[in-house]
Amino acid sequence: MHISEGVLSGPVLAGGAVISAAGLALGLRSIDYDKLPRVALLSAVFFVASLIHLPVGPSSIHLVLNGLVGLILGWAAFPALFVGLVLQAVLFQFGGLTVLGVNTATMALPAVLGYYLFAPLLRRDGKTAPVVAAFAAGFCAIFFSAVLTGLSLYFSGEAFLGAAWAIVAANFPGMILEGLITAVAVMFLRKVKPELLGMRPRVE
Amino acid sequence: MRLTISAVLFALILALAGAAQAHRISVYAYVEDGQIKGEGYMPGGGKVSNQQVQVLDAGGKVLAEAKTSPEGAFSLPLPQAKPPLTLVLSAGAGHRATYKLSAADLGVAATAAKAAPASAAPTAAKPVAQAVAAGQDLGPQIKKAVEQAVAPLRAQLAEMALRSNEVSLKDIVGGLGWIVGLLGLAAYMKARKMAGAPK
Repeated sequence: MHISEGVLSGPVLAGGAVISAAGLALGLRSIDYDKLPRVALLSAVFFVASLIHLPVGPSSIHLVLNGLVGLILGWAAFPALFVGLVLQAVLFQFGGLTVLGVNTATMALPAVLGYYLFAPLLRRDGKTAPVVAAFAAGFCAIFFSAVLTGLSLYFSGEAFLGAAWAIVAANFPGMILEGLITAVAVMFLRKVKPELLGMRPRVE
Repeated sequence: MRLTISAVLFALILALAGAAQAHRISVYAYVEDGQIKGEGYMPGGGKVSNQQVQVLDAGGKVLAEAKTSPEGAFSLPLPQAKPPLTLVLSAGAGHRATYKLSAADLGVAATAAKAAPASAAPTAAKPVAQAVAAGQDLGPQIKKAVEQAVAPLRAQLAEMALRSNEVSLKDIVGGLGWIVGLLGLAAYMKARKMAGAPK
């Protein structure tokens, strides 16, 4: 879902940049001293995740993990994903510098949405609610990222609405996979590091 | 009914997966025999198949276009236009790669292409000495010999272009280092704010 340079139209690029700038400002304000290492850690997770290719059927997909980043960071997902995207653009030529705004927005907005929708459910007692919420967060993050990517292309005149939906369909295996990985990661964190999810620290 | 729908959806996903996994595509090209030949590929050596390739002139006008083969290869007629030309490979879903063909890339081929029709087919069959004696144009023969000699080099170049497309461990570790550095910088700034402005 890294859109390459030279594909999007000016207004879409500008819109993405404005949304990302606002998200970055909100995100940076939400980061206090204690939260800093968390942001850096998840930025690193995102940076490396997209290098992990998993075989799905005859082809492969790579991880994004923006759902997990959103659940833990909330608005701080914007700076975390932005830093990861800048480094991916500079070092690997994934996406590009002019599309940074759009790419940040398409991946961070669904992350923040997941935070508001699902993060409270992760703190529930029992196992069912957290597992389902974490899966949904991972699934929806990719789903909405694909929708936003499709819309960016649609508004740039690159794709018809049908082709935009095809992007969503093509990312379906990724949604399932990210849902599963996010669920496993959240259940693991609940056990070993509950404070990352805003829960009371484990008593030794 | 439900089975048909899921079968169609599944087929759709499979069909689209090829384009969807093109995370960062690249395109490499060279000029040979008055044609632009090249290849589109992904990190790790996957080929970009059945996607559109266009040649644009300096003004962005489309001069020619083609589709890549299942092996990612394509060839286009060399347009009679001023260099530099730009090759654009579009793989849908926002994936796009470009390659610049400079005057140097085109130069040799452009003059040869002009010379070729003038000295027609019979020349190629005659021995070199005879051709020299007859004062004929040796251009096509020399060009053929040079191209044969250069072919292995071209293969090596294509291989190198493919390799340089891969993400190296160095890049990954470097990126992680940057993140740690940014963390340190941010922590330092916040700590200073907490301690109060320096005197």
